[in-house]
Amino acid sequence: MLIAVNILILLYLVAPVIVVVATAFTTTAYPVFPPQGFTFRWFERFLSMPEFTEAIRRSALLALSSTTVATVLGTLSALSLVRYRFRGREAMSAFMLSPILFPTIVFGLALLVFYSRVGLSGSFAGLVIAHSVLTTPFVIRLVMASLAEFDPAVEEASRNLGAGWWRTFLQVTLPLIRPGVLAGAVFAFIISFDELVVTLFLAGPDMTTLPVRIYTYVEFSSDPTISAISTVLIVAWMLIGVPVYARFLSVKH
Amino acid sequence: MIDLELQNLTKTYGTTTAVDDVNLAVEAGELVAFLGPSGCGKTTTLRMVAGFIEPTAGAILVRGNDITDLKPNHRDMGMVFQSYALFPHMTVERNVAFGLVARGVPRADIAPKVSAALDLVGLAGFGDRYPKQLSGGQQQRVALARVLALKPKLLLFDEPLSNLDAKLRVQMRHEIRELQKGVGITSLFVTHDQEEAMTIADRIAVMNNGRIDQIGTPAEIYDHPRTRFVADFIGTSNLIDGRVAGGRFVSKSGLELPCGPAKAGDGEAVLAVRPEKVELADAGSPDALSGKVTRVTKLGGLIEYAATLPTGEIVLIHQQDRSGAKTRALGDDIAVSWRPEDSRLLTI
Repeated sequence: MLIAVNILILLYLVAPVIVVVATAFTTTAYPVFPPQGFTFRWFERFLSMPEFTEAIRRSALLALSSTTVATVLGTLSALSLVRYRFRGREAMSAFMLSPILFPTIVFGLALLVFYSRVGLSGSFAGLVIAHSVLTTPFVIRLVMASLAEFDPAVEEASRNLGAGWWRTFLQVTLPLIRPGVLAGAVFAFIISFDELVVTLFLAGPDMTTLPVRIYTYVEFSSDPTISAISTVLIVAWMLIGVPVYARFLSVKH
Repeated sequence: MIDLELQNLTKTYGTTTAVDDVNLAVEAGELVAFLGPSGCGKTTTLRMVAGFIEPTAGAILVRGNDITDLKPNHRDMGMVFQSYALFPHMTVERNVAFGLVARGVPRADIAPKVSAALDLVGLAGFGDRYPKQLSGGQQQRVALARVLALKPKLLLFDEPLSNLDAKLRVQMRHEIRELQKGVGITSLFVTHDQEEAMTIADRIAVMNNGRIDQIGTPAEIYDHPRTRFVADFIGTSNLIDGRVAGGRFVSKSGLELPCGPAKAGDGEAVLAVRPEKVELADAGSPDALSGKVTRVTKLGGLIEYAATLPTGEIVLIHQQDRSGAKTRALGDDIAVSWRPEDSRLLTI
């Protein structure tokens, strides 16, 4: 009974993925399920369209940049929020996590107005900043969770044994919060790579990311090229993302 | 030679004073225990010495040098924590080597120092294990090896045995004591367990409300408590409130009780006498206070009687439970007495 329920839930979760992957191989000019025939045509078409390959490259670069910024800022914020007692700590903590609760469409509009005043409109740096703001709270949350689990006396022991602040951070604190930091980074990467709403507001014509490209593409055409792109992303994620996730997110010893 | 000196050490948080003007001089090689109830300031004092808490006022001197403003990593002290505080992601060997590496000890010298330290605590051959694979007692031994490998100027123990079970705790006390004597490193030992302090310390500093109430050898602290708090906190005491007038002690209920010489002159005082110093005799014995047995408790090898005097005072008596000794039953009429020199008059 339990197994049956589990299989049903699993089906419910993966059914869209299966359908999308299947339709990528159809010979029809529009996605159908079950697919008819078998062809790699839509993959060839995707790879021959520079607007898509260029968008993937840009999205990856954007996600990497904003993930780096978010992971560094988020980890440092979490450290100060958990380790130090200062006036207004609770308020600061709530404030730092608030972008999660903020409607992205409002955030996108606000940034559009702000960027046009400070001259960041349509720039890559502007997108990196926007995505970092969106993803940093996730890093803070996850790093805070892993910090809450470990004994501050371990850091004191390190200091007592003669290690300075930096050595303590690199050799003691960071290895112990690594699961939280990596989970935060993975979340940040996925959110940034997938982000559409804020990017639609901010990206100039020469700054089109993959989600924006897909969005504009499906407005005008409905051939299975989109299914092919999705399939490539799903496979890439399973080959790279899942092993990373399994390897680093379990705490050793 | 004085190895560690605390001068007017004070720590306040807002309006509360955690440590209040503590003065202490520790001889080279000596082990001083800070003993007191939770919140008495003993841990705060230790953490100020370690450099984790900045004193509000006062100074800390190690071998004559003022280290009050030194960062914890420059103090050359070895601290042993209640939670062991081992690095969970490093093997035992790397845990012990950590301080040596941080201090820039040449690579070739590290391995022999690590294995010597592990030998010292009886953990040779455990170098490849991770802390999680060891028992609590073994983990605390690794923590000891980790600080002993550095041969620090000072050892700091922050309730190191509180997380161990009772039998192991008693055994580790003696081990720590012997290791400390062996290496001859001056040590501070924080504990709330008086038996532990008695066994392990050369001198005990009894702390109360942020102050050192009394400092002395275990025997001095036990036999000659200076304050009511010390007499009450260490072991069991009969404490009777009253007044001293003309060298005689009269309890609040008007009963004159035998007492030693009053040091502080006339005024309100507390008479303290240990239960094992109280004689128990048959009713009507001369020079004794008559009373009635109102409670009998067996405490292992001791029997504790509570005798209630007609004036209402309760006197506890401890008797060795020897075969052939006369035992008393609840409700028996008895008489109690003590030598005047076995009682202490304390100011309130």
